[in-house]
Amino acid sequence: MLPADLTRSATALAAAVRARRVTARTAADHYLGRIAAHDGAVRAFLHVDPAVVRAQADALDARIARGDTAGALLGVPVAIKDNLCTTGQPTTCASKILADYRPPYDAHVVERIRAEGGVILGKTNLDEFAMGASTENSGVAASRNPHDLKRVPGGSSGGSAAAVAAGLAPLALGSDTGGSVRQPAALCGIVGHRPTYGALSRHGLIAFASSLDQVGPMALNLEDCTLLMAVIAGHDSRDSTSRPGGFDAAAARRDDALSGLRIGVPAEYHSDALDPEVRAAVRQLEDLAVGAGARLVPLSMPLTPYAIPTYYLVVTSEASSNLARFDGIRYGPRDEQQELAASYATTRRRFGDEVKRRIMLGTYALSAGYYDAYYKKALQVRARIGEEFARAFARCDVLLGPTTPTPAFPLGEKSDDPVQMYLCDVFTAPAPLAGLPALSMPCGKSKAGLPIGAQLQGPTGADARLFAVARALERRLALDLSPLEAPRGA
Amino acid sequence: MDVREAEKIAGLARLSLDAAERSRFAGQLTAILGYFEKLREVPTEGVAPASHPADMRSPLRADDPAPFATPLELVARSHRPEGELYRVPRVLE
Amino acid sequence: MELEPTIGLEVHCQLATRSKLFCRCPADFGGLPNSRTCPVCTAQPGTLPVLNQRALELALAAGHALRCTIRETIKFDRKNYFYPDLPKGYQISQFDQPLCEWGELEFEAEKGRSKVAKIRRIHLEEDAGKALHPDGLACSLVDLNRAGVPLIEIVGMPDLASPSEASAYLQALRRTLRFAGVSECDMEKGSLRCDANVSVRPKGQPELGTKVEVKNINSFRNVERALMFEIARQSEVVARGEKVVQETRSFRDSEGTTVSMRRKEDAHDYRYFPDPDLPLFDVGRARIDAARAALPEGFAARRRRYQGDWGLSEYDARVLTEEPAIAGFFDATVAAGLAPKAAANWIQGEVLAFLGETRGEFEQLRIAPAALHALVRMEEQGELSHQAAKKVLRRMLETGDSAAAAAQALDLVQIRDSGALAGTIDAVLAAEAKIVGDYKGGKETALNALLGRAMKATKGKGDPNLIKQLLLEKLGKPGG
Ligand SMILES: [Mg+2]
Ligand SMILES: [Zn+2]
Repeated sequence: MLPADLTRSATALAAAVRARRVTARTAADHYLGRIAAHDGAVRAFLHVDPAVVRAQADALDARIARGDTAGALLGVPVAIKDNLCTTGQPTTCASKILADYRPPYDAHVVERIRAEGGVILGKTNLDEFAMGASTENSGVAASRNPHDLKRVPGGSSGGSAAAVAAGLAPLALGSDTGGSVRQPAALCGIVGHRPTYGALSRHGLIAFASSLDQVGPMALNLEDCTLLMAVIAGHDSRDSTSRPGGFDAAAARRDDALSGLRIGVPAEYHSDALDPEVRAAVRQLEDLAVGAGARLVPLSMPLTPYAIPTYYLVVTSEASSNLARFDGIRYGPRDEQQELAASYATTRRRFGDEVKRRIMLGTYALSAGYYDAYYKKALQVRARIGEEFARAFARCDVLLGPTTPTPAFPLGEKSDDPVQMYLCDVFTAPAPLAGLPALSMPCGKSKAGLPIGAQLQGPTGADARLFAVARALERRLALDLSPLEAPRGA
Repeated sequence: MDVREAEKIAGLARLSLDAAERSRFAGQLTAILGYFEKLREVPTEGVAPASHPADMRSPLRADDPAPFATPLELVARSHRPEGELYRVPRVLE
Repeated sequence: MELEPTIGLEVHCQLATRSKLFCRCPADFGGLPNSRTCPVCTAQPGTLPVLNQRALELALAAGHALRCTIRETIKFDRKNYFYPDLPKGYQISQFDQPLCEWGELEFEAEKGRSKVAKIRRIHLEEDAGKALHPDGLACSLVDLNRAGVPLIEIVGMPDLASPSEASAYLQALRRTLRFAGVSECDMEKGSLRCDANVSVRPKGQPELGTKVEVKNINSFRNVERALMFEIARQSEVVARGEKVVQETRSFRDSEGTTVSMRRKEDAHDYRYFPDPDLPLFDVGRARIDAARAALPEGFAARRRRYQGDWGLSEYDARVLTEEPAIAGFFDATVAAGLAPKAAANWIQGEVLAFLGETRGEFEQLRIAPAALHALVRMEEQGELSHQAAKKVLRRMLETGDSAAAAAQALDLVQIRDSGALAGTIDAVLAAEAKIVGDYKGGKETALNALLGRAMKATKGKGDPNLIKQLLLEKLGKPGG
C-alpha cells in the first residue's frame, strides 16, 4: 500500500521513490490494484497489462538499486490517452478500425516520460479518434464520471480525467483539439492544460485535426501538472509545427503571480446560458484574485459564439483527410473482399457514427463548390478570432472564465443531438483556433457535489504564466484535491 | 443536404451507408450545416484565411538518409501480406 | 477544313536527393520491395512530415534553369484521393501557390530553328508507391519504396505545334534539368515521366479545341507515337462532325494507341486544402539567390562558349554537351592544361567510342581529366606513338591505370635512349650487309628497310625518328 500522502501528490511520490522510501514496484502495484478494484465501474482504461507495468517498475527499481536515481518522474505511473502511440501496448483511438494496432514507435511525449523514469500505466478511453465531449463515442464503452457514475466524465480525454480523479493514476496525458483536456478535467475536478500550439510535439499523437491538436498534461493539482508539463514540453525535429524552447517550470512556480495581474473578463463568458452554480464559482474565483492584488478588466469578445461553427468546419475538414489512411491495407483489420472499392467500404464501416458524420461534414466542406462557403469562410473567421484575442491580450495578461457551461451531464443526455454536444465546447474552442494556451482548474463544486472548473487563457507562449496564476488561486481556494477513495453513485 | 448528396459525399470519403444511415446522416448533417450558417453573420471580406495559428513557419531538415531498421516488419504486420509486398484486393480501373 | 494540333506537356521528374521528401528513407532505386519505407512514408498513425531542404534547393535550381519567377513564401496542400499506392489517402503537393511560375524553355523546334515555350508552373510534390497487378493473381500488390520520393511537376503551356516539337521540347527540358543537377531524368527508371494535353482546332481559330490528357507515355520514342496517334484520332472525330470528349486517355505501348481511362465529369474531386501539418515555408530571398549562384552552366551557354571562345565546330560543341558529365569532363581536361581542340578530339574519339562499345555511362568513367592530359603529354613528348597512345588510353579506360602505368604495362613506351639503341642498330647493320651495301650504292629507299629491321628488333618500341637519325649518323649520305 502506498501511504495516503503519496496518493495525493505525484511530486511527493517521485521524491519518495528517489529517496528509496517506496519502490517503483509498490507504486505500480498500488495503481494496478486500484484499477482492478474500481475500473470496472469507471471504465477509464482500454488497455492495462500488469506484466508490462511491473516489468517497467522492476527495471527502475534495479536501476535505483545501482544508485541511479535520475528522472523527474522516477517511479510515477502515468496513464496515456489511447490516441498516443506506445510500443509494447496497443494504441487504438477507441476505434474498431484500429483494433489491436501496435505502433512501431513511441510518441515523443511517451519517450520523454520513459526517459524521466515514468511508468506507462495503461491506455485510457476516449471518444473515438478524440471526436466528442463525453467519451460516449468510444468504440468500446462509455467512461463514467467517478463523482457520479451516472454522468459523463467529459471528453474526449474522459478516460484520463476519470482515472486521475478516481485515484487510478497519479498523472495522465490527454489531447486537446477543442477542449478535450480542459473540459473533462473540469467535469472530473482535476487540472488540465492545453499548451500553446507547438509547445509539445505531436509526433505519435494520432491526428484528429492537425492544426489544433495538442497533447496536454492532467493532474490532481498544479504542482503535479507542472512536473509533467516540464517533462513533456520541448522541441522535436520530427514535428514541423514544434516550437523551439521548453517550458519555464521556475516561472510556473512563482507565487507572486496575482499581484498587479490584469485579468480579462469577457462579458460573453457569462451569458444567460451559463449554469448559475458555475457562474457563482467563477465569480468567487475572480473575487479571490482581486483580494490578492489582481485587477479585473471587463472586455467584450463578440466573436466567442462563432468559435463553435468555425471550429467544427476546420476540424471536420482536416479530419476527413487525416482519417483517409485507415483503409485496412497497411494496418488494422480488413474484411476480405473481391474488389478494392468494396474492401474500402467494408473496412471503413468500422468507424462509429460520430466519426462518419465528421468525415462526411469535412468532405462536404472541402468539396468542389462548397470550399469557399464553408472551409475558407471558417479560416477567415478563424483569423478574426485570432485578432480578437490579440486585442484582448493587449489589455490584459490572462482571461478568466468558466471551462464548461454546466457541470457533468447525465450519460445519454446529448448523445443523440450532435449540435447540443458541440455546444459543450463553447468556451474551450476559441483558444485552439488561435493556438493559445489554456488551463482548467477546479474552482468548487455544485450542490450535487459535481466539480466545477475555471479556465485561464493566455497569449502565445504564456503557459508558465497560466500555471503560476492557477497555482496562486489554487492555494487561496484551499479545496480538497485528493483523489476519490471510491467512485460515487453506482 | 439531401439523401443523394449524402450518398455522393459518402462515396468520395469511401464510406458505405445503408439506406437508414443515409437518411439519418442527411438529416443530422442538414441540421449541423444549418447551425453553421451562423458564420455568415461575421464579415470577412478581404480577411486572409488562417490555416494555422498565426506566425507559424515550417523548418527544413538536412538531406541525410536514416533508413528505418525494420521496414519489412511493417509489411509483415499488414493484412495477409504477399512476401515483402502489401496485398490489396484487385484494383479494377 | 485543315486542323492543327496544340500540345502541352506535364512532366514529373524525380529530384536528385539522397532521402525522401518528407521522411529520412533513402530515395535510391533498387532493393527489395518496401525495403525503403518507414513509419512516415507508410502513413503509420501519428507520423508527421518534415521537408527535405535539398529538395527545395533542387526545385529552386529547376526554377532558375527554366527562368521562372520564384515565390518567397510557399505552402503545401493535400490532394485527397484513395488509391492503394497512396498510403496517407492524400498526396502532399502544391495547389495554388507553386514554388515557381512563368518560366520558359528554348528548344530546337527543327534543325536550325529554335523556339521558346512557356512554362506555366513548377511545384514540389511527393511520389506515390507502385501498385502491381500480376497476371493470374486475384489480388494486387503494393510496393511503397517510391512513396514519398521528391518530385517536381513542370507544367508547360500549350505552346507545342507538333509531335516532333513536343519531343524536342522534352529533350531540351531533360538536358536542362540534367545540366542543372536537378534530376537524372531517366525515363526508363521512371525518374522522368511525361503526360500530354492534346487538342485540335481548325487552322486560324483562336480558341483551343477540347483538351484530352494522355498518360503513360513511358519513353522518348513514345512521345511522338502517342501524340501522332492521338492527333489523328481527334482529327477523325472532328472530320466525322463529332465532338472530341474531354477525358483522360492512356497510351498503349504495344498497339501504339490511346484508350479512354475516365471521363472528366466523374473525375476525382481532390478537395485540395492547405496541409495542416506543414505551416508556411519562408523560402527567402537569400536562399533563392544562393540557388541561382550555385546553378551550373547550362548546355546552351556551354555550346556558345565552346564554339565562340574555344573555336570548336558546332558538331563538336553539340557532342560535348550531350550529357553534363561529358561537358564536365571536357572542361576539367581543358582546365588541367590540354588544348580544347585536342581534348575534344580525344574525348569524342576514343573515350566516347569506348563507352559506346562497353555501353558504359560517363559517370562511371575510370579516368580523371588529368590522366587524359598526362597521356597526351606523353605522346607530345614522343614517349608514345599516336597508335600506342590510343592503346594506352584504352587500357586506362578499362583499368583506371595512370597513363604511365598503362604504357608500362602494355610495354609501349618508346626507347629514346641512343645508347640503348646503338647496340641494336649495330647488330642490324652487321646482319644486313646486303641492304647496307645497297644504301651505300645510292639506293635511298634501303634506309627505310633498315629502319624497319631496327624497329622490329626493338619490338616496335624504338623511337623511329631517333633510329633514323642514328642510322644516318652511322651510314652517312646514300652513295657516300
Ligand atoms: Mg502531380
Ligand atoms: Zn520513409
